[in-house]
Amino acid sequence: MYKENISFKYNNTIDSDGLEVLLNKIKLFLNENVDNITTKRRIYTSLIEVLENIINHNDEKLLNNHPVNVKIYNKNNNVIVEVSNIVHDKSVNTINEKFDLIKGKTKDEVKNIFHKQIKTVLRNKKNAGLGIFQVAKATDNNIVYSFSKIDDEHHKYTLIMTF
Amino acid sequence: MRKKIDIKRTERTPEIILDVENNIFSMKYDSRPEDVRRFYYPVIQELRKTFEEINKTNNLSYFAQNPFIFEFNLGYFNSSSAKFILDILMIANEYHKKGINIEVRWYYLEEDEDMLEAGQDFSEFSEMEFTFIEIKEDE
Repeated sequence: MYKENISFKYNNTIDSDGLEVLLNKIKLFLNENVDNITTKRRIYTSLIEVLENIINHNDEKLLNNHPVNVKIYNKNNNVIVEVSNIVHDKSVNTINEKFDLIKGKTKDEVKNIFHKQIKTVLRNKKNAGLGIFQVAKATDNNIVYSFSKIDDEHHKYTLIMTF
Repeated sequence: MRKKIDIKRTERTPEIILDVENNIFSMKYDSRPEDVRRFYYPVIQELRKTFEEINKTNNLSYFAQNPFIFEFNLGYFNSSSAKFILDILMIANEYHKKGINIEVRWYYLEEDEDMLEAGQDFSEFSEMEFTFIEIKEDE
């Protein structure tokens, strides 16, 4: 399914243009290292959602001053994708609330939640908020996340996805 | 007649064509516009306007023999685009119910279970029957 000992690392600040460059590098890396189309798509899909969320939900000052860290590697026959970035304290609750909806849910339950969210989005004519459910669906809910306080105003947010 | 919609592909946005002469609406390649609403809003407006005009001509018997084809041959689309793709399909459903024969074709790469499943989800949500077409990577 993929080559052994694969390793992708990125540790730098990111903006909208930088995101394109990073995604192209990720696409190239996945094409070279992951054979299975579904796994490749799931990793790429999840990374786009996560990285776009970072760009869309953090202010420029934060993005310019703190690097985003992306690692892709394999462990125990799985591909692990880790993304960490710095968020304002106020974002912690919002992120926690999203994860509360999928915590401990099975693959099928996550799929049902995703479907419900799409229907809600359609009814409400809003387009936001599906990203994390998309990631949960793509990983079969194999997601772990954590926050660690780095100063009076910020937390380091780390998301680990297993494929 | 020129195409009603003729949007060229970019790295982030899909190719979109609405060709009334040939009964085709098609979307191809990736969709993750920076401003998804700004990208899709004019498409949805034009699509609705065009189908309203078609509906007014009351030439439904023509479409019985010559269905209007909605083709989706997408690479990757983000969750924000999904809502607008669904809006497009809801328009298709609305005019299909009014008597314009519309066929939806959903293309997916061989072994790409998720793209097939996404099509099945869209079919369910929009209440439109889809024809699923498997393609090889080099097609």
